[in-house]
Amino acid sequence: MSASGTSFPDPDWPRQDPTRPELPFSHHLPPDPLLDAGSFIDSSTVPSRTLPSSPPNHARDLDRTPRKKSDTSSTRRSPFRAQPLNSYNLPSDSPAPRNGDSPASKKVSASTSRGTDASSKSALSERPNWLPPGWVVEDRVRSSGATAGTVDKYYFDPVSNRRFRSKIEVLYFLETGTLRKRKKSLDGNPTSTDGSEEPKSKKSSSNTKTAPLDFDFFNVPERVEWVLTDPSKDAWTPFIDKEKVPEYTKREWVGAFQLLGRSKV
Amino acid sequence: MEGHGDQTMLKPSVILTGTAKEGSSGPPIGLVDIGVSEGAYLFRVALPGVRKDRSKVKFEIKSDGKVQIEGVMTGPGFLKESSAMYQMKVQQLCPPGPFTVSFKLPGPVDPRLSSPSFRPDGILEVVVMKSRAQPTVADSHPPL
Repeated sequence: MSASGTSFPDPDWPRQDPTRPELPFSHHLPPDPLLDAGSFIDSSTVPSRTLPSSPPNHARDLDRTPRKKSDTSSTRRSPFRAQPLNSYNLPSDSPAPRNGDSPASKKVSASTSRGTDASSKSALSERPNWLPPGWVVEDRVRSSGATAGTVDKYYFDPVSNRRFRSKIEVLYFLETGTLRKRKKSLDGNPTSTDGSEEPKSKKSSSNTKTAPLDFDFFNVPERVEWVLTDPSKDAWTPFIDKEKVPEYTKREWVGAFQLLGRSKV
Repeated sequence: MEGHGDQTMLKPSVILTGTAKEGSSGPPIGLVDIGVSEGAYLFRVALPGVRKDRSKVKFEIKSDGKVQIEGVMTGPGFLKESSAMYQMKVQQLCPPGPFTVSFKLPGPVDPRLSSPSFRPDGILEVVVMKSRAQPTVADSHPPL
């Protein structure tokens, strides 16, 4: 019985599939609206969502949508890694020097036209109209791994420096001011690979200095009205002069609040 | 032993324990606690009987620290299903209808930096940051 049991997916683990058997459940991304439970993506044709803990590359963080495949062959196994432009100061959880492959990142210049192309493409790409002002969109091309060449779109919150990997994550954050829940990692390689996690420990210290720079602590409105708009979630919405405060503004407030809460309360 | 049993039987069916035993000298709604930390104020307001889902709870914070909480006290829930009218013989709970609770925090605040929570136990708990516009907290954020 036990032997045969191994061939069946664990009922509590509906999305397990042979291509990533080593994934602990805790590493699963939030439920995928495009991928039914029990189904899986063939990594040979479509970007698979490999795990943060899978060593060699940054093939993790895949988005759900199919990617351009045209440049896959040219960059597959390429030693360089796509380097984002420095126009945006990435938080320290960006994929940069991890897993000891930082030397590779130094080789960007050595990499052919493909490299520059990737770099330029990683610059600010077209802004979706649902994205609040100030957010940064970036397309990054994977430089190594089985899924090299695929393009990942990232969204950066200028206030918290958080990184988001999908519209779903962004909208959830904008609406709730919180991050989508995920289980805590069990293996000690927790959230460092996910920029959408709340900045912690080593990183928070630097963010404490930088994140709130554009928050005007001194121009305090005379009054704000907070209305319990979603009792089931204990969600409160601020109003100023009977006007609802935009979600991204509220989010800035929340960011500033959390910032102060971390530093001194 | 049996005497003890009889005493228990004679006691009224309403049993109060803990703080509820200490009398209802104050209004049953609107009891306020205020706490202070280095950078923020915390206030807790008792809103027993105020239902989250239909009480339209809101509050206004002014930069000078004034807080006004508004809501609607809901009446007995069973009246909807019952045609009977009850003349209240004992009325110690807050009667149905709108209410406000107003008080003032010890100092100026930033009304934007507030983290409210209406807890399931009927306590409205709000943390609001002290105003940074005042030079009192210039140590970590010196005025420009």
